[in-house]
Amino acid sequence: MRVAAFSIFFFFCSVSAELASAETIIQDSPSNYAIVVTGGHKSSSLAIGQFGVSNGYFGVQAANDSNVMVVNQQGYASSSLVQQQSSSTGSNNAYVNQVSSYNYSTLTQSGETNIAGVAQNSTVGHAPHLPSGSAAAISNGPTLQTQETPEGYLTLFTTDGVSLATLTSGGLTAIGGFGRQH
Amino acid sequence: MKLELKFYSGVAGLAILIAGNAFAQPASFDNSSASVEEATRALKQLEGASETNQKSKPEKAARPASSDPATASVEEAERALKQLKDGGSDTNQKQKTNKLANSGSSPAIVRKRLPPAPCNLSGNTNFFLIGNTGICAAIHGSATGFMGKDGATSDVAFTSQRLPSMRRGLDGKLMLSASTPMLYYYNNPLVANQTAQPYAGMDSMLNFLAFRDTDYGTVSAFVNARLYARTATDYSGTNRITLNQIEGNYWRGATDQAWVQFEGLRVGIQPSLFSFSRTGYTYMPGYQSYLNTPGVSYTKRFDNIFPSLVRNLGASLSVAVEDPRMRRYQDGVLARYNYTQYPDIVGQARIGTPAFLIHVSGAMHQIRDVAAYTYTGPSAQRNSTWGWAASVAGEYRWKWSNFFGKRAGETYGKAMVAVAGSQGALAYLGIPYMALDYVSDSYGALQRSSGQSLLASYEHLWTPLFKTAVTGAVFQTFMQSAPEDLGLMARLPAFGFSNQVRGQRVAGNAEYWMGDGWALGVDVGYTWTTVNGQYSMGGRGKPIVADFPNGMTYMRKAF
Repeated sequence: MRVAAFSIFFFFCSVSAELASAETIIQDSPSNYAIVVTGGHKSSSLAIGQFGVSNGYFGVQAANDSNVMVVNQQGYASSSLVQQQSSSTGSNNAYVNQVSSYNYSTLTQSGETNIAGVAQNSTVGHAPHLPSGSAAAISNGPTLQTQETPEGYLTLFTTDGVSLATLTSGGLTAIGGFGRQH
Repeated sequence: MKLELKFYSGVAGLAILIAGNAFAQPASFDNSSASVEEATRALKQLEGASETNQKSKPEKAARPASSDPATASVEEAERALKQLKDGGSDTNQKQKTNKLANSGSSPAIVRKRLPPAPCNLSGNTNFFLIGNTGICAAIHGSATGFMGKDGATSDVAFTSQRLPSMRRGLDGKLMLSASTPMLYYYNNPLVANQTAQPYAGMDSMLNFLAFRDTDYGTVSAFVNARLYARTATDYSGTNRITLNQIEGNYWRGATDQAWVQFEGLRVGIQPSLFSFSRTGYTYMPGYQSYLNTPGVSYTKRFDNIFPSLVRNLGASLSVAVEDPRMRRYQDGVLARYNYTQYPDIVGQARIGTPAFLIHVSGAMHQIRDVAAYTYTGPSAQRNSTWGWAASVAGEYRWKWSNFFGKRAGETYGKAMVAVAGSQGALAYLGIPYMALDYVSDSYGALQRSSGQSLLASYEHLWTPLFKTAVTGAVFQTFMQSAPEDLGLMARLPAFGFSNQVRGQRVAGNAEYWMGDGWALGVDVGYTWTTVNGQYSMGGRGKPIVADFPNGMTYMRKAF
């Protein structure tokens, strides 16, 4: 445990500069899912926190020089798939922290310098570990946030039962809309 | 995080313009038929002594435009034309013609009597004869100024998305593409910026009606030009003036109706056969479709059927092909129409007397989708299917003294009920743009949406100069997409959704006719909308309820 804590501290120190300007997504619905596919930039820095019963993350970062990813999942069942692809002279830094009864993680890096850390704390066989507030209902109804970011187009939909986030670039998503005219 | 809502892609924005202009007015305003009805009243006045009701009304007062069904007004014009042909000696002449036609001998060509020249019957000079052409014509119009306030501070909005998923390309290899459909709904507070200020506008119409008897039948033509302008505010609070347009074309938007008719065959921009008569008797529309569309229609009339049972009972059967582009609820992402192979096919049957009318209509609407092919890639199919819609409606008019005797005075009432259902052709329901005709999944399979709408309206004529009306309407829609695996191998669940929208509206109207074609009115209403959603990866979404009042006042001059 002390080794894991030291690893976490060291990792954050090494990437603190990048994280200072990271695109951050926080999801705390009972079910949280995030899909990230970005590329074509010089650098990419993302941080995702998922605090629900079921958490899932799929991410592909393909910035040329630097890819930084921090995934923090806490709940009952958490899964993540992290892929980082930089140029042959680029660097990749990824850290995954999972605190759930069931934890699954896959991490793939391709670049000159690859640094990865995965910390998993599971309690299989015990009662589900639910961080406080993770199952809180959304009292004000569904919300949708959309934004063009340097990393790509971000959508974050949150409602009572589920939160779905997407961050994509390169035409990997399509957005439309309709409603009553006023 | 800065909140920025991207509502519409290019195609979706265009689709919204199409859908919005298909109704050619905002949710709180509708008066699509005033000038047609004014022209029709002029025709009816030409019937002269046979119109006994005219004698009982004040000299310059006439039934207001808003109390006459729009579609029936044009039909009444045709009946007036027919009566002009068949009145007096023409009736006898026609009987002789029919006898000759049925005798087995060569039918004699009987030259029918031309309208008396000049076109000035019973002192009505609003018809005029065009030179020596034998064509009688009339020009009428109306100008309506209005102002109102939309009380919505927020409203339900929908955003559609195609999620990145692994799908096979043409070469058979898996590749990431925008594939799996997803739909979000939420309360949009930016509507408050749009409705913060009252709105004002003008709705003007100018119409030209002409007819001419020929040896083979009556030829008629009608053109109604409409200019609808009102102030509008966008999400940023910037004011502008909007004009009616269709597919971005202002000339097309200004052409409200333009058709020629020979006997029962009508060609041009005309009221859809699917429509009953109007969207309720109030200014604020209920949830029924009333739309003018390019088309070709044929109507066969049957007059005085079962004369021993019901007096003046008539019927009609009609069939039409209509422009399908006027009936598309698409967003360009989940639903995206390809070019169509077939027009909409619409059928209508009516039966009634001057006191009541029963209407049944149906429509078939082709869906040819290209959404999945556009976003997923060539491996997705471009499927097609058919949507349908059906409607049953009725209207009844009466004089209250027939039920309550003299104490009811000279008051009249009329009521209408209309119900419609659809699958894959939701624009036929006359509902707001809150659902799509269908959802196309990653592979091109089409899941048609369904919906129903119901409207009831009553108008009471207190005096020949004052009337009130009330309208109630409801609708519901249902759309869904089956759960799909994104193929990302991240132990993610399958992503799918279902979405239900329910809406209710009540509206009240009061109108006073000041004479000489002037009318003053006020309209108030209240609208409720509830949206529910379910997601396969996380249960239900919290319902949203949006409700708001609407009010407006208007003044109209008909000429």
